[in-house]
Amino acid sequence: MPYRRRVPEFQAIIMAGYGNGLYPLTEENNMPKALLPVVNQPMISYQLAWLESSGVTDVIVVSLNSGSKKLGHYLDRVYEGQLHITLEVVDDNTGTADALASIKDKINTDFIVISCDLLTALIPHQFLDMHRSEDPTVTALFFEPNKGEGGPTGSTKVKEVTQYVGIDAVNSQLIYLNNSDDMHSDEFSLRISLLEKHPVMNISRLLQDAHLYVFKRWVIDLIAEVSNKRTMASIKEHVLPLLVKSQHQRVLADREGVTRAVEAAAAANSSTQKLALELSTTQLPVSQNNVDGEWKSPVNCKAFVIPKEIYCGRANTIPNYFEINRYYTKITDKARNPGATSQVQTQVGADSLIGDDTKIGERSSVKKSTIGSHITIGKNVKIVNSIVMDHAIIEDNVKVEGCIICSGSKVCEKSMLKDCEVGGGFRVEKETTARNEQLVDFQEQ
Amino acid sequence: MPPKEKVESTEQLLQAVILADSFDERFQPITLETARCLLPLCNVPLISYTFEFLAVAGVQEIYVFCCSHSEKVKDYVKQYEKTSNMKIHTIVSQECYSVGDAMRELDAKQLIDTDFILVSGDVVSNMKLDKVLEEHRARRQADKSAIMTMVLKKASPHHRSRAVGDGSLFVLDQSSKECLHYQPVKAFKSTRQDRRMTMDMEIFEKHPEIQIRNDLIDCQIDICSVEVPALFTENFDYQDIRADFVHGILTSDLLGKTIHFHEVSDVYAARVRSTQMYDAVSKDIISRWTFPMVPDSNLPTGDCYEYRRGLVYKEKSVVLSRTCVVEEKVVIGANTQIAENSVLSNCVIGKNCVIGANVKIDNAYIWDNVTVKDNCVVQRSIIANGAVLEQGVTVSKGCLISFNVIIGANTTVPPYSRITALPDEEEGEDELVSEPAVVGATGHGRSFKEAEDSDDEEDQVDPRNKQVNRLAFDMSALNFETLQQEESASEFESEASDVEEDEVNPAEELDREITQTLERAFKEDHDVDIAALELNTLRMASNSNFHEMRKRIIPGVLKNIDLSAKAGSKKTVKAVLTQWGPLIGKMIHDEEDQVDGLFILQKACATIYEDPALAQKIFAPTLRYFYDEEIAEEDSILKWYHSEASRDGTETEKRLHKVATPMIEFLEQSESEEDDEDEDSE
Amino acid sequence: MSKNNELVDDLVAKLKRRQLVGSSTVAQATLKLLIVVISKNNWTTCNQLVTLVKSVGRRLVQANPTELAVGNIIRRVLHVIREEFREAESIASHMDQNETHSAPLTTSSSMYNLLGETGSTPAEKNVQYPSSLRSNIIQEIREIKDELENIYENIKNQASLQIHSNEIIMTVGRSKTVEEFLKMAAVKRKFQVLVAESAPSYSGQEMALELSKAGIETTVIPDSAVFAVMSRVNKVILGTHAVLANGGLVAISGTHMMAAAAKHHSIPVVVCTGLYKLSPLYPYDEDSFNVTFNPDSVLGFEEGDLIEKVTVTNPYYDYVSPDFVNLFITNQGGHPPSYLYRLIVENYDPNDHTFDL
Repeated sequence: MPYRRRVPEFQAIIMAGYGNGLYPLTEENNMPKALLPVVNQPMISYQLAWLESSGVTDVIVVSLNSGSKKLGHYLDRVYEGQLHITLEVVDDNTGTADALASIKDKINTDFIVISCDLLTALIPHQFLDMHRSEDPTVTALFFEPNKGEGGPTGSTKVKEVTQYVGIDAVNSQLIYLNNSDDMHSDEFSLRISLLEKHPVMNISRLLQDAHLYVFKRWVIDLIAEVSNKRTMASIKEHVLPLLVKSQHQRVLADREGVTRAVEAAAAANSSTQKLALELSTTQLPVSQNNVDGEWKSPVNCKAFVIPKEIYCGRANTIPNYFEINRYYTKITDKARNPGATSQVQTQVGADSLIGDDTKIGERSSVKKSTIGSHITIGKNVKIVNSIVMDHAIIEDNVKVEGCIICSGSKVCEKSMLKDCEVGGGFRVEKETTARNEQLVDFQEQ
Repeated sequence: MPPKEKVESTEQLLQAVILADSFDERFQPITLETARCLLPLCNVPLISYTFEFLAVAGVQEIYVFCCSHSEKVKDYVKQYEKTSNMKIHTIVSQECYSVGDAMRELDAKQLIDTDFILVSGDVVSNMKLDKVLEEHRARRQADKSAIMTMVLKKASPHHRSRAVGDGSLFVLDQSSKECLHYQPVKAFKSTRQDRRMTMDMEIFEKHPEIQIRNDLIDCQIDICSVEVPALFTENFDYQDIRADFVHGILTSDLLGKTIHFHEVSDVYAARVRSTQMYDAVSKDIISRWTFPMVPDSNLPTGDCYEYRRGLVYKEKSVVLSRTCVVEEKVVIGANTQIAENSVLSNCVIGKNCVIGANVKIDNAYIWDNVTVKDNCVVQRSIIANGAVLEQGVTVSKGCLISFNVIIGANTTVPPYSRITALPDEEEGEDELVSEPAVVGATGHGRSFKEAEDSDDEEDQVDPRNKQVNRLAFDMSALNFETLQQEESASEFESEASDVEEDEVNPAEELDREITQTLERAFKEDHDVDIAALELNTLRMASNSNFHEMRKRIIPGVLKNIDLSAKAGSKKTVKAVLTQWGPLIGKMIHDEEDQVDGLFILQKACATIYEDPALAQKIFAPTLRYFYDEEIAEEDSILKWYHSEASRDGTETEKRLHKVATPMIEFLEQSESEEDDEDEDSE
Repeated sequence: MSKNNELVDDLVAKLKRRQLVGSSTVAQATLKLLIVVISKNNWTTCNQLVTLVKSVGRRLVQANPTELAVGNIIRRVLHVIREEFREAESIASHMDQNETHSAPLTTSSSMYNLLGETGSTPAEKNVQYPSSLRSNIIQEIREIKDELENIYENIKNQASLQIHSNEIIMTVGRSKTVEEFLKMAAVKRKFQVLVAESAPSYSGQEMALELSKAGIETTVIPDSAVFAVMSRVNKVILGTHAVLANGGLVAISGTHMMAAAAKHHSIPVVVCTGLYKLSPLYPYDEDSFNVTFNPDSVLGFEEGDLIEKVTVTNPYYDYVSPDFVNLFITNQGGHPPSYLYRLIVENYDPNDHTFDL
């Protein structure tokens, strides 16, 4: 190994999945979720920027088969940052944990897992410091989603699953994690022995998992085991709850192989730390059990809750995608309307953004929308509260409200669309009136 | 007289209600002769601490509610009132048995017309209530449904001033300062319900962020609004203020009332609820945590304690001999004399006591007018007024020696004994019959037995939960192993049930269900039909088959046999088979089942008893029984015997196989006989 | 008489419960009570009045023995009473033209008075006192009251004499007297102040805040840094809770350390105090003038495991022996500790040191 190579502290893995909540935006004919534009920049660029500012050098992007080509093209050709990126492709319908298991051999340090739809203004080191200072097994990020400004909700209503998150108020340990789906009875129940170990516990149902985790290296072996046992194993639904429960339940920890994984890791990393502590005159040796002879779990989960003032959002559903777009459009300092001089009698609102090389016809108005590049907008077009992606064509006299129009599609004249999504490459016939619909070409799966 | 509607003004008369009776019997036999609130804590009556606390808060009118020994309480109150500028009224009620009853009386008398402070007569606190009162009043102005504010003190879960037996769990909302749920926590948890905290999910609807606290000391200082007594009258089954009233208000949807809390952390507040708390609070007072309510503030008129280094408080008229040693944390009252070579540490000694030579007093509380003669040893006990300990007496830990008891010379009083000089009225005695075993040959006193709990509200009250409140009860005195076992058992059980929630393992669950059903049947001597019915239902519910049931029932029944049981008992082989054999029969129908049943029987016997000799003692009679009762027919038995599988297996199984040989031979013979007969008949 | 008792009871209760703390407040409350007691009750002879005041005094002192200001005020008042009676008697005797056995009216103690019969208390004779006696006494007491209220004025005026420009002054804890003193000096001089924060009450921090509001350059230092910084200090100015007969101080905890450090570095120590804090009692037992507070500020009550095994004492005051102090600045001027005995003799009567009758 050449000595000039720096040993990285963390490896990063970006999960570029399908995006079930974003149908039809992530279909094959449009683009994968990771490339969906936020303020005309692919989402993944935000995560890459965040990782770069955190000091990570190596990033592995895990993508599903569908969409991997476009993603690969972006990462190779278009991306301009300093990170060293590898693209790994896994089969469709693989869960996040399965995906991690498949790249197990490429991971050799503690690793950060970030989903490609997480956008936040959080300064990375604040979050990473929690992992560095207390050395837990996993540090997870939680945020309280801002109530949207009542923006468009898209065509379908998506029901969000509430999570009940229990955090020890004193040392930020994540103690309790449960989804509302899994809680069947109308009683909320906890073991009192848990409360004796953690006397002050905050439980919130407003917090959402941001899908940003920092794991210790040995967890990857555990994940591999978990994915063997289940299909479509997901980090959020399977691995994290398992780790949280293993903090208290010895039986579970032993049975699911958590203890085994820890011990294997300890054996692999034979450090002289233990020997040093034994010979030390001031330090007590770290014992497996607590002072009282109780079993001390090898797992320690921490939760970092983002303060309300710092923005955090996950673009995993259409309403959220809208919300994030609107927020970032408001605060961006990009040029709002580069082609302004070439337009005649157009109105472009202050919280809208127009991309390069986009033509807007006369007497058209754009309000609270984000318009991409290379778009042709006809005359007398009204676009309100919408997102139009690159290379779309909108003909004259069209009214678009609360819609997402994907790239390469065409909306013919005199159409009125409200709360719709127009799939990639779709052609909306003229004089179509649609409400709460998804206008897509039927795709063979 | 209906209460007058008063406009909220800052000039309002602040009222307080003291519940001088605690409605429990934890200090017996001492409280047989005087009221609990008059017992001295560091030589000052308990209720006087409460009065001081209220005086500092600016209360002008106090109602003292007393039931037992009301005369004594009234006298004391009259005396106290002379030296203070508060108006104190006593309300005597003979028929109150709980806090709820007292509140109902209060409501009936219509004495309260504003928000009032509700405390019990044994609260010790140096807290200033102005902030809490302000908050409460502001809240009431804004929202009339905030009926009560509880004052809670932050400590740590295993703090000594946190009553071990009366622990409580609070669920709070920090943003609105509301209390959402209350659950009492027992020290020794025997049922699954004890081990878990359960709360309504609806609470999350209105309060998305909650905080669960297990580290609060509940001092039972409440600021109640004027509606609280009325609520007690409406719900006449409310007895205890926390377990019933708070719990009831919080879980009832109809009322729509809210209860708030105020958390304090740098002042002291505690209630002397049990002898263990008496010990803890005394120590806190001596260590000056309750400053300025410390002995050397001389709050009662006439006291003149002085503070010396090492937390020693002595009144001016105390006479100490030259060689006696007063170590640390000692309070000595007026006119007491301590003779040579005595050693005092961590104790409180009252007025006019005479302590002899070579006496060791450690961690004890000796009240007024007590005589302790030479060479005594007193540890971790309470000795009430007028008692006399003759020479050489040893009082072991946890003792309560009541008024005027005389312990004879050279006696050792056993630990946790409670001795009184009152005659036993239950037995109809007028005069005291001394028990020499406890008080010595020349003593005067008998040991006091608690009355058995007449109300069986909870089926299994773990008696340790009551003991935990006693003076000098050591958690470490318990056998450490059993405690650990219990802990791990509880963890395991709840883990198992938690794990259950994740993935139901049907086989394990079926196992458990069957075992439980069988156990129940055995214990309660169910009818075979009923048991069979239950098992069948189980089978259908878990979608299993008879084989699975057999696999479990046969060993289950066999386990019930006790080989060492004498004839005539229910556990002999014969008895069990006679009673429960038919149950097995119901699980076996056709030939295949029978063969299967025999295999199971063989394996089961071998598994339950590794020793072949024992195993065959079960096996042979059972096999015989099966044959006799036609649970297994000849053909099946033969089939089983001759099959490969029955010959292989563990040593024991092979032995059992051999054991069956004579029977098989008999069968084969009789078969051939039958054949002969048939042939003959044909 | 019963009205009497109520008022006295009230003050006693407040003292016991520590609702009234601080020498100045306590002294003023005691004075007010005495004025009421003296004016509302009937008395004719000196003895009667003295007994009355002593009985009230005994109760008040017993209520809170560490608030020495109470006793001091009582003694001042008794002294005033005796003086007035002596004066009145001498006037009456002059008018009578009778020889009396009363001692000459001097306040200075000459050897003759010490060795001979003092006989300062007039005997139970039916002497006709002038009717103005009562109002005179009340008048005198009101003067004491005025003096109390104007204490800061008199002390302040000596400030510019004591503090020079570009000096570094060190002080500890919060004292109103020192605060006024320094603020007055700051009007004319420019200097710096170092304040030790005096844990665990941290009253030094409040002092620093007040001083900085007045425009004085202030620095807060932890108690542990006092010795280290002492070499750079020019003067140490202290406030005190009480001054004892030998010149010793009962001051806030941390004062002793500062005074000892100052002595080591030969830095002058100046104590600003009103005369009402001067007590004729001797510190035979250091601990008897101290109050031990709640240990919560030192070791939190929540540390459940520890509090069983550890004894924590939190004494509020320190005793500083008189050889650490160089100068007392009182409302009657500046005096060295050796002069205090004179002040005591001038203001108090030797019969009044204890209030036993």
